[in-house]
Amino acid sequence: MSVVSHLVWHDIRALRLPLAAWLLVLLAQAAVMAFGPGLIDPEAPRSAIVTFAGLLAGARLAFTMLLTVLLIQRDSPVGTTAFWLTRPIRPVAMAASKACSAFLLLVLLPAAVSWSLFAALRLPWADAAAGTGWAAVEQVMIVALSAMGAVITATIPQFAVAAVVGVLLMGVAMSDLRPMLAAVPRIPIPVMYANVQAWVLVTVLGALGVTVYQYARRRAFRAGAAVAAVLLLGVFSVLVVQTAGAPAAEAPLRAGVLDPSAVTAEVESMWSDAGIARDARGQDVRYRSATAFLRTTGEPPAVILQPSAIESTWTPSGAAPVRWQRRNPAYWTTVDRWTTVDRPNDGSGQPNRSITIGLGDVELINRRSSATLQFKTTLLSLREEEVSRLSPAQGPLDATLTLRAWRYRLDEAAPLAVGSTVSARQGRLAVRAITPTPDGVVVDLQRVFLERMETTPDTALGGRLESREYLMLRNRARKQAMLAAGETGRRLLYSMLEWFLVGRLGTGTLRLHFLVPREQGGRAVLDEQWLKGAELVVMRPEDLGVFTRPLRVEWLNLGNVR
Amino acid sequence: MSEPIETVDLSLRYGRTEAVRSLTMKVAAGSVYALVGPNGAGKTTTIKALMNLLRPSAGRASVLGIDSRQVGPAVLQRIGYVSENQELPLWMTPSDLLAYCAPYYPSWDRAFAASLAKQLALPLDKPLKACSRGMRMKAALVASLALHPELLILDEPFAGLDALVREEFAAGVLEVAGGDRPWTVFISSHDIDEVERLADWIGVINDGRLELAEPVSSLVARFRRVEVTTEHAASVPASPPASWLIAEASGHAVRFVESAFSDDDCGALVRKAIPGARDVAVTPMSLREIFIVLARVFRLAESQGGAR
Repeated sequence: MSVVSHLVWHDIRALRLPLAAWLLVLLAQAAVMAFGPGLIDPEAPRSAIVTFAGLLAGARLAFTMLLTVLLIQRDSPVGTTAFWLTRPIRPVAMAASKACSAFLLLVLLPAAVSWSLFAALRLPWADAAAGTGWAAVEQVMIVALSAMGAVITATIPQFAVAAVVGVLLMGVAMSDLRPMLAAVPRIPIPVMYANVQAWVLVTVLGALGVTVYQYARRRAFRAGAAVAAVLLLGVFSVLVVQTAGAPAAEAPLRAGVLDPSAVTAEVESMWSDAGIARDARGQDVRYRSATAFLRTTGEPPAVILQPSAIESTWTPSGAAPVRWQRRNPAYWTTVDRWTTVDRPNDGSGQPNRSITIGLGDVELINRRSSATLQFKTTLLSLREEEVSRLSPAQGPLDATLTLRAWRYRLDEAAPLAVGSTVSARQGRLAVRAITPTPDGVVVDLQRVFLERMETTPDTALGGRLESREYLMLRNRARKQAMLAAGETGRRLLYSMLEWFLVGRLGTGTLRLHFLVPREQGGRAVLDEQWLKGAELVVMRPEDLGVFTRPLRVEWLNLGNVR
Repeated sequence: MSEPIETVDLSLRYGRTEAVRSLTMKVAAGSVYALVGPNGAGKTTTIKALMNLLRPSAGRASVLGIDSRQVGPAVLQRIGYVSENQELPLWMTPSDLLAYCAPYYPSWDRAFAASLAKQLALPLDKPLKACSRGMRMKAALVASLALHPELLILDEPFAGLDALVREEFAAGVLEVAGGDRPWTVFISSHDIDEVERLADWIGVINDGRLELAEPVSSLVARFRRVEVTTEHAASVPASPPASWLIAEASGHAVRFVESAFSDDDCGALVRKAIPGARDVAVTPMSLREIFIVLARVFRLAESQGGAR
């Protein structure tokens, strides 16, 4: 038996009681995740099982920190009285044994439980692996951060003080460094969630380095300074590293989707306003901007267009060029409290057409309240002192508008029956109950969610609610489909630290209300036959690529601020 | 060949406090060297420097021929260490402790460990946290002796132990020190009686300085309590010999401690320094008495501004 395994074995023996409690927490959490959703009353305002799941997630976090501290401080590198210091144990071997013990007990063991849980919940293997990986990354981060506190302190109260100081340091750095780094070029790395991965890498390598240094040299103050440096570097990496250009953002328009030359873009209405914004240095800057509703025409009915960028250089006579700017992403809207444009709901707009075409030209029983598409965007934003050379009104302004095309497509469909499952972004959904009501039907689902904080065409463009995934009912024989009119749900969170993750983990319930619209006049649309032939379908937006179109604004007036 | 322990001008500071000052000391191979001194004298700090638990601020120290800053696993395999300040893994039983330590030492002797445990009446299966302080120290001693150390370092091993346990502990140390192998023992202690029993060399440290270091036999031989009876009212000589310590007079008697006693010239020296001396009574001193006298001398010197 090597020295490291000898030490690991004694770590396990020394901490057998807290480790038994830790295993109990893990198993209890897995049991609650597996069986908890079945105990939730969807109509009850509160749920004890949800609270209990939250407590267990908190206990998981607390135990991870506590066990890390106990593992290290039982053979502390701080002070001169630890037993191991006078025994022929190489400091590197001691540090390695602590890393091995922590990995084995606090990362591998919970990962095994997570894997068993997700497999038992019949998640697809890829999702089970992803969920286990996320949970493991979170554990690694907690262990690494706790270990850095533990190697520079000798007691749990000292660790608590160090932990508070560390959290404050990261919080202050996060808020203070952000504006200072606004002008710093980003470091592009071609992996998903690059900044989170960079943070994890910096923290884990830093923790290993600090641990080995402190065991070898036993200089708590220097190690403490190194810990502070690792924390700051971690914050820096989160703020500076970014995922290198999302491939979907640059993909050209897919062939045969539409004829770009047939598409025209125009400003439907425009106004100017003034405001105060904070610049990269954190100073308030007064600005004026022109905001407009844009509208496109000429696209096929199944396709939805959204502006993703506007580029133009406007050269007022005798003045330096002014680059058009967007302060906010363009977003798709039907109602805006500032606009005077209020189109009647004619039901012909998107996304209804895209959805019905995506479902095979079905009739949409309950249409989404939808107007003809328009996009709100900032055309130009200038500092107050730069406005004078443009006033009172000038033009024309020529711009190049980059448009992204996308459409809804059927992602998955399963018969509407108890036990059926579909995979949605909200997780793996299993039908638990189908309850017809006088107004329609209620479908209860059990969720196992691994919600990815992914960037999809709609979210990247500030697509808001209308462009997200849809859960629907479809009856192919009747050529009808129905959107959920509302949903309620409860989540049993697996983790307290979602911010470490690139997604959320847990289980829960989801109740979908499919209601027959009032204007149907009590017609029994969702009769028994309809439901028997129904499917639960998942519709998701599909990116079709980008193309550019010219945009002309005849006159722009930043002087007339509303 | 270098000595098992050697320090040259060793100094250690804690912030502004100088715990050890220019300490120069040699511990000969095979000896039992006791470092004694009052609380805060620098005994434990010196030992921590030897064990590379603290870094010297000046000077140097070597242990088994290796610079103390380089003391690592290879040297620690040859050193047994017991300290009252050491945090033992209390969740273990003595048996666990021995099993935990054994793999680190190529020279570990299981049979010897078992025999020592039996000799010291160590309950092998009782968790250390449930054991008395004496039992814990005995467990630490067995874990330090079973490797047949070339050097055994004991830091205040008798503190807080009752008489029986002290006796057993000392017997254990004596057994290895007097065994076949010439093991060196370096011990720091307040317990002068045990030191007198165990040690053949003694170093007295005070306020971080090594005040004296010599064989115990030599020390005991040169210290005598002397009482001089005079014909007239006695007084302490204005310039007594430097070797006279704690001299005082009362009635017709002058009493002092002679720190350089010699059978041949003691009487003559007394009569020369104290005219009218009638009788001179010389009494041998125990190590404890010598230590108390030295402690008084050190304190007196400190109160007089550090003059020695």
